[in-house]
Amino acid sequence: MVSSGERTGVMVIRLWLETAAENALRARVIVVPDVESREAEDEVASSVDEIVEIVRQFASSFAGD
Amino acid sequence: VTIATASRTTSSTAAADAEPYSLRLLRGFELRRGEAIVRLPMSGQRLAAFLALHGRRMQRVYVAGVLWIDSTEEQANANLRTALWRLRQAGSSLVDVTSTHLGLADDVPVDARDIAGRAQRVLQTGAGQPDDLERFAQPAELLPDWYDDWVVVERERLRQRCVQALERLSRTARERGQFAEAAEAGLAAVALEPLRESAHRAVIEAHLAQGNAADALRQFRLFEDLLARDLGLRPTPLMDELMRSVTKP
Repeated sequence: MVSSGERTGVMVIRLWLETAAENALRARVIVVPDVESREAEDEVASSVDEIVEIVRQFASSFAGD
Repeated sequence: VTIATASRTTSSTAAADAEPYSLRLLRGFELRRGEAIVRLPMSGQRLAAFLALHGRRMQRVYVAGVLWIDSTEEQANANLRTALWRLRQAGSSLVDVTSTHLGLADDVPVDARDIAGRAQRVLQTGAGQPDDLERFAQPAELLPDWYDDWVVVERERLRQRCVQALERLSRTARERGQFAEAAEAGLAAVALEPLRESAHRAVIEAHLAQGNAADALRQFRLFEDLLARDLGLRPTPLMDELMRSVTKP
């Protein structure tokens, strides 16, 4: 959870493994840019780099960068 | 439905005081005593929900530290005392309190705990109750719009347990020849996580067991397209093996 003044954003990263797959990692990232708005966005990823990029974009957008 | 408030005190009638509590956390917080809704301030709701979801006695200092994580220890303890006072105003038998520990009274039914227990039983025995499927399809609604860290964790824990229980219910139903129920349970698991391959396999296995190759193929194509579109990936060899009898020339 990240907070900025009165505003709070939340990100949930749900990870699981498809063990039969060569590339086993799966992630669903649930982003709530502002908990007051109650609007959530979903993103999916299948690599650590993709997950990190989603987190980076969320934090940057939240900070207004 | 009648409305009670947190200011209700021991002056209430003996009959009303004898009414049992029940706590609903799915689709929103709702505490009832008998048929009457008990209104609580937010701090009281958070404390009741926290105690309900943990289902055991906890140290007061731990509860205060988690619920008021941004406060000093002194302030968090003061907040806890206030919230506890408000809860006990709503009913002295709602919370078990000692000088060091507190917990929700054992006889207060909590819907989220009921579902978690049902899911656990399904995972252990493979068998469920008639309305399990419908109930397992709703775990994402645990205290919607609450974003406290401990709520998010419990919501995810409940959701995960329900997905696994739905897949297990699907397998049990298929083994019993109840193919419609098997497909329905699998589809409920797919709805909770559309990219979860084991959930799609549960649906496909139900269709194949019933001899509906076309339905199995349709479900496979749906998953294959979704996986390619969202992640640029193909289904695993396990799925390919399952579909071999359908797709071979």
